[in-house]
Amino acid sequence: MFDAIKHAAANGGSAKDQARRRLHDTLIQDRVDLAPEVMEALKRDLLGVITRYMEAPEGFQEFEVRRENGWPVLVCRLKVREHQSKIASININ
Amino acid sequence: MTGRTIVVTSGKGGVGKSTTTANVGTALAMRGHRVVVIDTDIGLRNLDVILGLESRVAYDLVDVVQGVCKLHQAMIRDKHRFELYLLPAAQTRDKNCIQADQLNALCRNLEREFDYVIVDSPAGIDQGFKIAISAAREAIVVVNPEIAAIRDADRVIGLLEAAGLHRPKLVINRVSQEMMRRGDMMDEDDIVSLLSVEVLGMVPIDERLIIATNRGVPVVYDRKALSGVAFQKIAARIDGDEAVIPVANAKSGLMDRVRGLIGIDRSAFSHV
Ligand SMILES: Nc1ncnc2c1ncn2[C@@H]1O[C@H](COP(=O)(O)OP(=O)(O)O)[C@@H](O)[C@H]1O
Ligand SMILES: [Mg+2]
Repeated sequence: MFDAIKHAAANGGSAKDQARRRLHDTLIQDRVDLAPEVMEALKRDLLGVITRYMEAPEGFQEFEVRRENGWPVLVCRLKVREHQSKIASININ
Repeated sequence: MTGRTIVVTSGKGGVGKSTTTANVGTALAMRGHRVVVIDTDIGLRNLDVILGLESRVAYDLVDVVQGVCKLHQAMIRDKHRFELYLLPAAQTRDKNCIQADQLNALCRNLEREFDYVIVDSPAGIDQGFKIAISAAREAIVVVNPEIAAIRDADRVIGLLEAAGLHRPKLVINRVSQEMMRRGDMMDEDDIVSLLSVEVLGMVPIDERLIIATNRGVPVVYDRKALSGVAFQKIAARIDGDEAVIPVANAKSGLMDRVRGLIGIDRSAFSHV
């Protein structure tokens, strides 16, 4: 039991950093109310659709649910290749 | 001039809503205001014992809304010299005894007579919570610096915003400076970055608070109690005394809420 705690401590830094990281991810899930696997599937499918039209070699840089005006908003951001390699962003509300 | 109706809520139980209501209410009365605190935790009445007024409860909130007694018959004046009144919850009724529009009418009524109407909400996010927040125009969310309380607070903040109670303010209760210093407990910055709401103040875990509560005297009367001092400062901030405590990184507004969450480990994108 105590070993489990030590193991967790060795891997994730201070207790408060672990708490904050875990909460960060949990709050995102909570705000949209989708299971992590569903979020992953959505991410994969979206990337699939986008790469039919543009190249996005680095995948999503940002993929999360925030709260704006009381509503959960899905915000995705990814770099797409263009002739000048500029950043274009796609926001899906 | 009309008073301010403020709901004290949390989602999670046992984080210190009633303690905050009792102490902030008392502290506001000490500052010279006319204050009424309303216990809406029907079936689990507690504010009366925290204020040490339990022996004087004759009528309750349900009696008032059902017209069994007059409003002033149910309100108990605090035993100290201040203008502090308690409207106790019913103990032997269930939550369906009172409706949102009834509490709303009551609070509008009280606002004409009092500077502050403070509504102590039950735990949870169901009927009792919805009724408690429906009458308020401002909200205070109480959290403890631990995962479950903060997660519940996030949910509650979402529900408050959806109900039109924008920019609720946070009281972080039961903090341990020692544990924060060791990196064992989330600090104010961590909590603000997760929830992106303004912090009114932090209240330490305090033995003196437990002693005061046992005696039925709000801890704000204990000048040596750090928790009492913290509640005094919180009351001063609510009262518009901005100079009281510089709370670091107080963020407000929805875009700041957004930035807060990103800022945790995605600071490279914080220009969004
Ligand atoms: N800062 C604190 N230090 C020590 N004990 C506290 C503190 N805040 C609250 N408590 C204790 O925690 C318990 C729950 O507090 P309470 O205000 O009844 O919570 P809630 O109304 O949110 O259920 C009480 O026994 C109270 O005395
Ligand atoms: Mg309570």
